Amino acid sequence: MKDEIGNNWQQAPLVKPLGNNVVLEIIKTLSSARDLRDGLASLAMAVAAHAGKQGYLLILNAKLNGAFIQDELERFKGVLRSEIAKRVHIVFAVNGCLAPATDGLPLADLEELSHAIANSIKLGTQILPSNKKDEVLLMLMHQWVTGKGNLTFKSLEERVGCNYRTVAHAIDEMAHAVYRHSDRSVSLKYFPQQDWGRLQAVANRTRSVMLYVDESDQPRSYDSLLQRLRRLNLNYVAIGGVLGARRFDGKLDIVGTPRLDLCVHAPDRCVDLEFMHALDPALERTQDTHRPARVVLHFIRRKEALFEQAPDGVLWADPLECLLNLYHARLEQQARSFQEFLMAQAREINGH
Amino acid sequence: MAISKSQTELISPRDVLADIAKAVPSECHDKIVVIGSLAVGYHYFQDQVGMAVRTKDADCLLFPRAAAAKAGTEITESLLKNNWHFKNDGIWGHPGNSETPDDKLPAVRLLPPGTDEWFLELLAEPESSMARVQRWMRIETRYGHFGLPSFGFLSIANFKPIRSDLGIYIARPEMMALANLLEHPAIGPDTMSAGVSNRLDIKRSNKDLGRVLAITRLAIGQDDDALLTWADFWLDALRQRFPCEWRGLVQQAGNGLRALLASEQDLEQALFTCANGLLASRPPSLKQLIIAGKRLLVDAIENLERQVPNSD
Repeated sequence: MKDEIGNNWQQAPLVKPLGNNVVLEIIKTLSSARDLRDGLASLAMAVAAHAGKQGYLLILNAKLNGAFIQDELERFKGVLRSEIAKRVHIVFAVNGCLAPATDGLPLADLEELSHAIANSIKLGTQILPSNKKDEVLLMLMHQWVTGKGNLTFKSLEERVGCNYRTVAHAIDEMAHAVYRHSDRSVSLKYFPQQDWGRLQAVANRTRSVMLYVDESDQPRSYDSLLQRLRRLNLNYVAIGGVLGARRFDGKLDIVGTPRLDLCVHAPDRCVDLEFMHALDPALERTQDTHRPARVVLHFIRRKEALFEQAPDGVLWADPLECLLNLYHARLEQQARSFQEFLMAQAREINGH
Repeated sequence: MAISKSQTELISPRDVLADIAKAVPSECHDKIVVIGSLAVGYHYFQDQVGMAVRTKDADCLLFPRAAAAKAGTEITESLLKNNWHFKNDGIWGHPGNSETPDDKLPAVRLLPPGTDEWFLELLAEPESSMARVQRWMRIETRYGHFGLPSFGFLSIANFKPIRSDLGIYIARPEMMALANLLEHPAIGPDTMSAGVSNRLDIKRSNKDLGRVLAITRLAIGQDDDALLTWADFWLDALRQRFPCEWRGLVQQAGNGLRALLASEQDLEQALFTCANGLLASRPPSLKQLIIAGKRLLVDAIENLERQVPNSD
């Protein structure tokens, strides 16, 4: 199945109970009557199986006429038992929000639906594709910083999730800093300051980040959030930022933890963010970069996350991702210090 | 009767409980557990100077039920002997006699000497896990006959109470929260007969579920992860107190709260009762109250529900 920008995405189970009052079916792009009827049929079956719950067919991008959809809905309801029919609804998303025609729906249901839209639309269409050449650079830098040796073109293609041509272009652009080995593998000669600087300069535009603020006036401690994250046992979320950097450089000069940076592996640019609700329902997404974020999600869009699992099961982000997180948090001094630390460590490991 | 502002001034929970502990005969200390907002206030505010609650009644539950009548008689006689006096509640302001039917007996509602800011009320543990409707246990004192009411989920409120340094028991806040959650599986139409801070439209469900949210905020204020321990306690209490029905009660425990969170009108009433009760010292915003509810759902109620999956 493909969404409107042509990228493969994995479809979630067709219908799922959402929250406590709602059964939800999502159609990302509705372009045929058959899809509409299929969606309504599976929703009706789920509603019948969940007594007392309201069922919603949430259409994120309707390419069919609204009157036609309503007409289909009414005809469909006509063949259902009334007890089920009255619990089957269609709602639409417009520009990432619930369409206004939701009068009379319970507030809790509206919240659940808004939540679902936030997870579906924002991840499905708003996570930008990453710059693959930057990912090639980061992958080579990661090898150099951690002393893990050369990488073949094939390996770079697989780890980044790109084709040979992209890898070749990326290597050509940083040729000055690259060793080409006889086995068609490559490695860095030194820290490519110039390329790193360019990557940094455009990071705000090319990286994918979500900011969350606490709205409770009783913010949970970072220890509490981390304990909860650990209990959730997610295999696609790692700790980055200050906490991650400290894991590599115990002498990092910073008091406390200004915010929690989490790195979310989203190679398909479609990821389940329900864990944020489990982490703390007080955390709300904001676009306001002036508000101090409590939690920041950084989306890792390459194929290989480069996360490392600690013995206690916690996933940690790689050192370069942590470094990027520090720069994003505008912890310039600490970021420069951590960068120096990584470079010194790499020179020691690699001997150059 | 509407409650005038002067009757609901801010009071210090510790001071009130100290008065109760001093007035109640020491041999009855282990048979009385303070429940309600005073108990919550004592639990969360006792170390905080200036933190107070706006309440008028000090609810004292007598347990076990077999000992409630004797303890109730002793406490009532002792307080009256020491110049406590009847709260003037119209027809309920005087003791009954042997002719008075059980359901017409006045409750023991006594004002301490020299103040009308608060009064003590005695209640009894319910007779059995099935006894949910209000019933009256007659006590005969030398001053006349009274009734000890018991109802609903009071037996949850006195599950594993905490012995205070004052000698009397204080109900666990999480148990009072559970009792209120179970009491209101939906938002009922009944309003508070005496009103709340001059408002007569406050539904009892909203007042009681608002108290749940107030307890939640106070608990979180003391410990970020306090709610995570509640589900185990709740499950233990439900199994012990309701051996035949606990599974069904687990599944209905969150229904009233969910209904409250779904209704702005009811939430507004819950907020009003919080701001004029347990959270009078630091009233939250509506959004903050909703967040407290969501945190309670995620940390405690859903945790409880997961332990006992619905068999439907």
